[in-house]
Amino acid sequence: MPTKTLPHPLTADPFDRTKRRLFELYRMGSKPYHAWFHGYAEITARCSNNNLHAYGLYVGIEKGVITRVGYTKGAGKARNAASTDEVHASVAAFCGYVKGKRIEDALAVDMKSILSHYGCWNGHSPGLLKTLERSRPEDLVQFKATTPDALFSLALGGGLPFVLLNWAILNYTIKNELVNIVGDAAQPFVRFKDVNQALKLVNALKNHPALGAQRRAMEIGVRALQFNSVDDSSLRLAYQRHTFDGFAKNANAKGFYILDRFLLLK
Amino acid sequence: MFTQAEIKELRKDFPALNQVNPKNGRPPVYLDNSCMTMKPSAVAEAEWDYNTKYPACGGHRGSYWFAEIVHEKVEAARAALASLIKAPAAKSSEGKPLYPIIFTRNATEGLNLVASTLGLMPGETVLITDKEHNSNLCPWQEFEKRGGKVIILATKADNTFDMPAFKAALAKDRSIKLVSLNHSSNLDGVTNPLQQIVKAVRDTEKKQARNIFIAVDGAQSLPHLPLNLGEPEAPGFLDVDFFAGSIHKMLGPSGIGFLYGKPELLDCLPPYMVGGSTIYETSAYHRPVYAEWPARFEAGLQNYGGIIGAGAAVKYLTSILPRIKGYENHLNGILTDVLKPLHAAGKIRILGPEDAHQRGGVLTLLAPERPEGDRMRALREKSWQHNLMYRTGHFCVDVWFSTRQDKLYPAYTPIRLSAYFYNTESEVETTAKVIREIFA
Repeated sequence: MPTKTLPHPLTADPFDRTKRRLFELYRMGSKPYHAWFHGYAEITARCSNNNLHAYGLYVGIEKGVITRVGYTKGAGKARNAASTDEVHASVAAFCGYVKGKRIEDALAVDMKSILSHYGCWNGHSPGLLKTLERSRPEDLVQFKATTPDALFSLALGGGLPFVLLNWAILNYTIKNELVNIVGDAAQPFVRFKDVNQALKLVNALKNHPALGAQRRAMEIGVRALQFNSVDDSSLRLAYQRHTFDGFAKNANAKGFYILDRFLLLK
Repeated sequence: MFTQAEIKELRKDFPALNQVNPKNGRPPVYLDNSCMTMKPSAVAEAEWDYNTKYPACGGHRGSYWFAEIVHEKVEAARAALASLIKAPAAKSSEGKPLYPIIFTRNATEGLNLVASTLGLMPGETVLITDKEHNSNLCPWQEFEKRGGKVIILATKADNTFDMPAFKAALAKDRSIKLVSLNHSSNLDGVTNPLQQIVKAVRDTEKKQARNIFIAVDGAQSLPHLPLNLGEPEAPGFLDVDFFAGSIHKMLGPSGIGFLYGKPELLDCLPPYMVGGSTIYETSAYHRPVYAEWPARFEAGLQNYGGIIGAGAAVKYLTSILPRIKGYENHLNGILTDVLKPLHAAGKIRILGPEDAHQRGGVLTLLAPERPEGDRMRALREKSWQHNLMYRTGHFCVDVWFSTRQDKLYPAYTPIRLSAYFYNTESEVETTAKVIREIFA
């Protein structure tokens, strides 16, 4: 049995502090946080026990490599959201895993690779995962007693950061295209010079497998970027909503089994 | 179609129609249904129940007894309306059905919502017709002020939709981003061939590899026609993006309307008014993150009594809607038969096609007198004697009147008679005869 555990949520560096610090720096005229963190995603989920889980995930990317990564547990109204250590540990583990990886490698994450990264993968893991997959919620308490913490945490909560990471990369893709068209990555809010710039972005995103599928809706979302940031736009809410099922399915296929016990709230 | 015996029974549901004018002892003859319909008792009772039994706020602000009832009834009204227009239900993030109906004050607000949130930009074009209500004109005139362009497509000489001109405009002007038009006109009752219009737009989209949005002012069609906005396999499917309606034209309370939008488009549409209810979260440190629709578009406390009344109206209408158009046409046929000889003799002008079946329940005529003279005064006196209620004026269709009537018939006064299913044959006969008597 593996003895190593994932970084404990309480010892991990939650993004809240970082974000607040950057916000203060921004007010003092320094670079805003979006200049460091290019991809953003946020999820609120209701667990089967009716607790709310709210997380934001931020990634900073340079030359295709994730150089910075952070997360925030809850914000605003969701600040009081409950959390399980397992979900929180999973988010922290994902952040630790993807840092320094190329985007495509980070997106290829599965249960084995992340457990191996933390030295927690061994011969027992596949069998335990299969048992966990078949388990009912009421079996979990008993199962937890016999399962290594790392495996249990990722199996239970790993789906959420998996989806968040995929969304954050989608977010980064849009911003990247935006910078190509509008220029000036440091500007927090989008200002299309004219309609051609908006339509250029629509065309650039049209062939993206997730965004292109939204067709006419995606065009409305792009137009709604005017005077907003990608992060607070209806486009982000819409593509998160439209891609959730697909990413959740992928998460399950990669060993993060119990995501379907959470209901996405937005 | 209804028999007169059935109409007699239905009229019992409408207290306003079962009274007499204390000044002359006669019942009302209400023919201004294009503006506002009468309300059945069920609607008033639903509003009364709200105000007397559970007058609390909805929208999940509270989770107590009254608030839960309000929330359930508001959502039931939304579901009933969605069902009436066959709107597809999306799934909320909590897995519950989400009906793409936004409650507004009226169709005007629905169209303003689209105009404000669609993100149209300078250099783009909105195409409308010359028979639009000012509700579907002014928002685009405002867009013009911001650098947009508005094409006003003229209807044909008989006021019907000019399809070849429409197709030509679509093919010629690649800047057209939105086609916004009425389904049925409040000027003359003519219903536009919306299915063909939609097909022309979608074909153009494919040919030109770009998106064109379609918004419909459905205030005058939904009270009279069964519609299908969400079932592509079912007959009569209308593949429109947005559809605005007014509940007060379909038996419901005034001050309530709705906007239907395709669920995937509503997902992306930014908020229109912001504030309470529209927020998912905000704080001193964050820009606001808005809730999912419909809450995102229903800012502040709503007219809950009105919405619940709307639910009752929709329930009432649903049971009889398929039979309304045939009966209205029948009534309009009676009006037209009496007044057609005057039209033929050039004594009045009936607007729109001569065939009453193309004008729903509406007959608008131009009476040969403006400014008001002896005959219009006589008509007014006769109307008061018989309690005839109809509309004169420009009916908020100022584009048409400024481009067509003023050139063709400058010395006429427009009079609009608009019947609904609770009108009787004798009511329309009486009205037509009064007009004939004066203008013959």
